[in-house]
Amino acid sequence: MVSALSLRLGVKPVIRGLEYIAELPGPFIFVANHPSELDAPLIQQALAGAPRAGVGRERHSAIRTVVVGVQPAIGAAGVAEKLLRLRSGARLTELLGRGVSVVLFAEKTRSDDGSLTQFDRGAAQLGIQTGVTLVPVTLGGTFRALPPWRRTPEAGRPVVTVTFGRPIQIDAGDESTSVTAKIVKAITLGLAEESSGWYGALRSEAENSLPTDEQNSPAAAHWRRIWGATAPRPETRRRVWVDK
Amino acid sequence: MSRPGFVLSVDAQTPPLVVFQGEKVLLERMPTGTNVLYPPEPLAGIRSLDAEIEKALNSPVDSEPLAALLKRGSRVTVVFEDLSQPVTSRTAPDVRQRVIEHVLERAAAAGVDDLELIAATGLRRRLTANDLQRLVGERVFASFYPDHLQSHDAEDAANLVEVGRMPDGTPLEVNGRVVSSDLVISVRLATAVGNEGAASVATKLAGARTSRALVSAQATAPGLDPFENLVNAVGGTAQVFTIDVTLTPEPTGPVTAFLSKREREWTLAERALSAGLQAATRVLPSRARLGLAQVAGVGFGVTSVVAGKPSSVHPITQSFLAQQQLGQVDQAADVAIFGIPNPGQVGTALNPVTAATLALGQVFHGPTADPVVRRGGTAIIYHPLTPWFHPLYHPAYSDFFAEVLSQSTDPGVIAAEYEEKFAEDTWYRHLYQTSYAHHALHPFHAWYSAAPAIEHLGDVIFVGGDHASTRRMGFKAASTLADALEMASDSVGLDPSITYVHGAPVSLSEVS
Repeated sequence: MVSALSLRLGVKPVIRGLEYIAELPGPFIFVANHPSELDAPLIQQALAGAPRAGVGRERHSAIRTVVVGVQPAIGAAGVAEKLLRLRSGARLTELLGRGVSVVLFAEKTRSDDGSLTQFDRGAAQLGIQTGVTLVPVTLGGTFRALPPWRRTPEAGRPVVTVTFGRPIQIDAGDESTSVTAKIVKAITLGLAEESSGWYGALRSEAENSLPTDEQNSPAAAHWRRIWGATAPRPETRRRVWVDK
Repeated sequence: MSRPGFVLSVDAQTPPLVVFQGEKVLLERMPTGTNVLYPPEPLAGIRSLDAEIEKALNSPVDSEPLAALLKRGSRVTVVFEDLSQPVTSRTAPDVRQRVIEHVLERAAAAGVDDLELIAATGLRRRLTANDLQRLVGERVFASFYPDHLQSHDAEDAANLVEVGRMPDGTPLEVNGRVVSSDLVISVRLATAVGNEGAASVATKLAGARTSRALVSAQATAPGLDPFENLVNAVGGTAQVFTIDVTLTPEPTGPVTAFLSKREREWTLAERALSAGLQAATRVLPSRARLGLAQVAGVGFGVTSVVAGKPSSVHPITQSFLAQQQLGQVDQAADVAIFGIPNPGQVGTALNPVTAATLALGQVFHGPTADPVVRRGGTAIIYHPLTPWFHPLYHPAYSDFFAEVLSQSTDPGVIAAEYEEKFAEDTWYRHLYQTSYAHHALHPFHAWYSAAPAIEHLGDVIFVGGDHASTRRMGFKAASTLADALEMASDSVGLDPSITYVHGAPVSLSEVS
């Protein structure tokens, strides 16, 4: 487990949209993309700092979370996971019933180039079964900060973003496919925010022309996707001298 | 329903009461028989702000839902309150950001590309990039700054458009972007009656020439509003949709929450804390005390969000705010006592002119509908009136204080002899447009706004006030409350009726 301090020392997290969940009572099912090993601790750190709204005795308690990864753990941890049925729907339902939020990395497989892969419908199904609010979470820049071939994050505290989307309330009669589509759309919107800005991404979404990043497009060669995902961020630091 | 306000009559058992004095918090023993006005406890803030904003935008008053007003390809301008209204720390990001994000999400879905955001600064200082980012949030800032997110510029002749004429023939000039828009969405904030501003959004987006004529016109004929016809639409095409948000003061931290509680109800721990705070204000140097004032300050929560047609929404907001007032006082007192804190969110000490005008504003826009002090009575105000001016924001204030107030404090004389000179000065104009200074006319308008209170009162005495500053503004300075009452005895007698307005005033608003 990465400690809060080492995470802070390694990367510079920018957290957006926490206010959307601050006013809701919880628990939540957080559904996120999973480009890097940094993702789980990042989400947990972001949630640990979430302000909880409410007045007096009704103040909501802090969000407690359990993380469920894309692939089963390997080795002894995997055996324990299997024996204790830690990844089963029944256990997750029971956790949600106790008021514990769940972080799900809901892609079917993990790509090795940071791109978004196909989503499993399990997360939406869990939401429909339990009626718990789903919160899409987009992680940006984590692949660049800690790609699979590195053991420590890139030097210079790279910026990583954790973007919480507007919560998705489950209505009676919702289908898991349509809920999953909403989740994917929200996460894609979060990724587009990186390249075209918040309003630009919203406009593209409205026009159904969300820019699929070149590295996300399955048509692009594997090396090009990695090349794109690890390209340095444009310089945003304030500079004294202005280039003419 | 929150706990209503009440009036306490001070007797021998009454503990010392909290009095704000600039960055200090004092505990003062009031004379026996003093009436203490405790304002009603603030309403509880809204818990689910997002849901409330959604509701307001989807079912507005006397208007179609916002989503239906936003049309593909239309020209939309969002106008929002500047830092003259508090930053609502209790809603996590500021409430302006929360509302604007909802508006923009709808605009994006409707296909609006021509969109601009303008801070309605009036003649106040234009906002720095940091200020703007703090108000609208990083996402909106990054999407629109610097070309499509800016402060109103009252001196930018090229971007001011005439929309009518005043009775004396002065053109009514308003920000050109607003006039040329199809839809103007106005995000307004208010904390108390008298603080909600004019019904028309155009007053805060007028040119300097218009603002100047407007203030002098209102001085000669009070209640006159040439912007009356510009409430629901500005110019020919721009329809106005308003989103009014009312705020409630809430203690920022549990540590200092006791300052707004009634002193009799303090627990032992709170008494100890208060003693600590007293000791700290005595020991710390004044710059460090500024930080202390921010700790002891109040945050703001949201109590209501109403959207729709401005002429219908404005009265609703007004009546909602009036609920927060204590109501009628039985009889106006001979002497009224006010404690004026430095507003925490400003982050700097108040300059003496602003402090005095804010304090005097409490006479008419205090916790009650009628003034708490009778005509010819005395106001005793706790504020240090330190002669300090922000080097960036207050160049005109500094000169107004040094050059104008030293010659005369009479608004008539000041208007006739100095206003023109300040208004025409190109250096002040340059500082206003490029260096975030208040407009040169701002100190004049602030001073005029205090004139009715000065005229209503016999004496104005500042307890702990800087001697030179108070004298220059035509007031008196006393070092203690006993001294102040002694000085007032000339005009109100030896046994005056006294009213103390408890706590921090909620309607500390600057003139626009």
